[in-house]
Amino acid sequence: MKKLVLAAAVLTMAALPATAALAESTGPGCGVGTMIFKGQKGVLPQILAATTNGTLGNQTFGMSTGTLGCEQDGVVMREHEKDMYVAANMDQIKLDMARGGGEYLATLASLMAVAPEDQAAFFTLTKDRFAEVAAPADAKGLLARLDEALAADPVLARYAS
Amino acid sequence: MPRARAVRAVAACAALAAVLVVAPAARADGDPTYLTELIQKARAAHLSDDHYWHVLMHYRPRAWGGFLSEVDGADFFNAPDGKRNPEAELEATLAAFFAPLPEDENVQHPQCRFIGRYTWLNTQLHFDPERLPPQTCDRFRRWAGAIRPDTVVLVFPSAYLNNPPSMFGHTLYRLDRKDRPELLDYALNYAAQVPPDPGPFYAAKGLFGAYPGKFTIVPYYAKVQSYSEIENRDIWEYDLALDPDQIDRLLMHAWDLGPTYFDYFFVKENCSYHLLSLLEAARPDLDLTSRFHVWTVPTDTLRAVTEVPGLVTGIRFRPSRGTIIRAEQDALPKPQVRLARGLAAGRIDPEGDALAALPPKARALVLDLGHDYVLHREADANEAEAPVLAARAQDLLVARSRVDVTGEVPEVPVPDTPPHMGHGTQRLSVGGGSRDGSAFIQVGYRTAYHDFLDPTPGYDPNGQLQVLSVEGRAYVDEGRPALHRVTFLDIQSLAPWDGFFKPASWRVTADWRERRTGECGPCGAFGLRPGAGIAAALGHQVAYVFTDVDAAFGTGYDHRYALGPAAEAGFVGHLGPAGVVRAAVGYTRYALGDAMGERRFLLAQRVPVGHGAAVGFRFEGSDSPLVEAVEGQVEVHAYW
Repeated sequence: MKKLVLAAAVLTMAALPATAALAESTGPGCGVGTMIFKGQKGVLPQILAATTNGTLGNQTFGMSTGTLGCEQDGVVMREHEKDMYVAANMDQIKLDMARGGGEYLATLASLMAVAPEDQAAFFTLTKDRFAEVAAPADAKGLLARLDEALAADPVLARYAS
Repeated sequence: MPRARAVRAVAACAALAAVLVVAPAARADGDPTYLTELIQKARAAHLSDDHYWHVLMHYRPRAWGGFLSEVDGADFFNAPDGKRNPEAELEATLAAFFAPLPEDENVQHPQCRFIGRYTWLNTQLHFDPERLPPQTCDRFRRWAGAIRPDTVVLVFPSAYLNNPPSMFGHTLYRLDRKDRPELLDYALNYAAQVPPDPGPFYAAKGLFGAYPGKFTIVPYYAKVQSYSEIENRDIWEYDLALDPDQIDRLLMHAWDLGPTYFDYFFVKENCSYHLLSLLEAARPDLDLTSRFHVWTVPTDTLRAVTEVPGLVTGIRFRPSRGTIIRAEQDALPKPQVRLARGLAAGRIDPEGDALAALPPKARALVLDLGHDYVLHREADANEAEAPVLAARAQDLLVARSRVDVTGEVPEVPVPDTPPHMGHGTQRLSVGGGSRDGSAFIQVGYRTAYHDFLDPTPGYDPNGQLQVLSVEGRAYVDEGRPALHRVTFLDIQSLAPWDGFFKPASWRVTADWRERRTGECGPCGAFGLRPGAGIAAALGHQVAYVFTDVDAAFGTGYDHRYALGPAAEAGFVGHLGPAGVVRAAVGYTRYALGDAMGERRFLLAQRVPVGHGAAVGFRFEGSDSPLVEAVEGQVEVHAYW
């Protein structure tokens, strides 16, 4: 029973920041940015909730209110793909960075269009400079630090945006 | 690569544009006399009786004749009686294709809104583009172009007892593109849209279709997060052999269904049922859903799919975070596991001497495990703990990044038996035995799903879930059969402690049992027994202790009821080819109603025989005044 209660509590807790951020996510962009600063835990439940509600615009496959503007008919818009992916998978990406590789980091590399022959260098860079790159708790901050680290690297500089 | 694809997409758009240029004068209204012609042609060809029309519309024959569509959203039908009239719907759909262009760019033209139907009717009736101008359907094409799967994977996150809709597992599709990392592929999911605060009648509402069920599309990583990272459910992936035309049909039909809904019935019209029906739209030669009449268990749908020759080309396993942690624990000697726990608890400094003393490889593993512990705990943390744990996880990762070992997750052993190879979920049992010297024979049938003694391969060894099981018994000296026991619901979730994971075990049983007492002869009692407990594992054996609340209602009791606390200690042992043994002793102190005590014991073993059968014995007894007896029986079970 305790597990049940726990599971419910986790869901509720995790959902709270996102709900709170919802009201503020009316500015330009798709809302992910706003939510990220509310703590990364809030983003995922939004995507996970995956609730489509007939009143939400006219999406064929909407994800949820929180991702409105990030996606069309359930497909994430190209310009938001990286932010949304990082926001939703922070823990796993950081773990891969510290370990020097893994599925989540390889996926990030692919989103940043890192060529297969540069992947190993990308893994090494994120491991070597982990302490500064992974310090931010939010996706935007992490991506900004990653950009700085890439820009300073002779081989990988071309992947900095 | 992306460039080549983009060029192709542009070419396709150009071709469509050309079609439009050929008939620029024809407004989308088209030629009304052409509609009459098409309808006549459709009638002559009996298109509304065509199997594929019924697949696209989800028409099912009704017991008393006629048809009824399973789709419940009115927006899915063009004819007012479209839900039950295939012919009227087909003709109204044709008429809708002649609609003028919508004024609002957000509203789809019927040709696009129902692109699966449009495409099929076009192959049957060969629409004249001059008289029925085709729409470009940019929105659909943009969507399909972004998803653009090369293959379709049937994904099965394993059963999860702590979430009622997931107790039997769940299924969804992943739409895989070869050049895209798996995590970024799209998951096509069908689920009940349950409001955030569903209230106490959630389960009952789900049973009776009170929630709308909808198809949704989300990145696969969102699904992996929820199953693998949060709920700790291992995921099985079944690759399906579908050719590009079949995948197109699946996508188009999914698009037709996207905006509408079905009433979601947990028992039959659930995720697995509708996923199969989508596969029927892709491959009309398959009949997968008609075998499911009353209920649809996800593992049974896996079986239905794997039974189609050549349909499943590969099966893969994606371990959950919990499974990975266990593999990491197993890979380390005990003192190092303790070190990792110390790190997770914040007692040991990740940069300190204890770790520095380890060789780099071991240090890396200990830090990995320590971090995974923290992450696991963070998932359940409250608001005060969460920031502390997040900072600790970060410190461990920083220390890990300084160890010059690039490490992947340790090799996680893949279970020998994928879920579709487990025993069938229906069970028929025949047995015979003796109760205090009276011989009896017994026959039982269970609709679903698994108990601890059933063959374990393919199932969670620590989960028991039985729904509607009926046992009848005839005593040789009485001659006539009588109902012995009806189990409405029986869930037992054993969650062993292992030093780090300290989960709670829980269970609940609702049943009716025959009571044989001197006063009322054979009579019965309803019982409801919820309980909580703890369990510990020693290798493949699990010992448990439960405390329950035992409520019994029936004419055999004084005041017609008895209520009190109960306790049980027991043991479930997995002996490989020798099957499973279970032993338990229990005591109930009925304090209210018919106040009395009852002591019980059980000893049972069941051994699998080939695939789909098992033999076993049960030896049990009770000293309750109502059922005081000792009985033993041998049983044969068949599963399908």
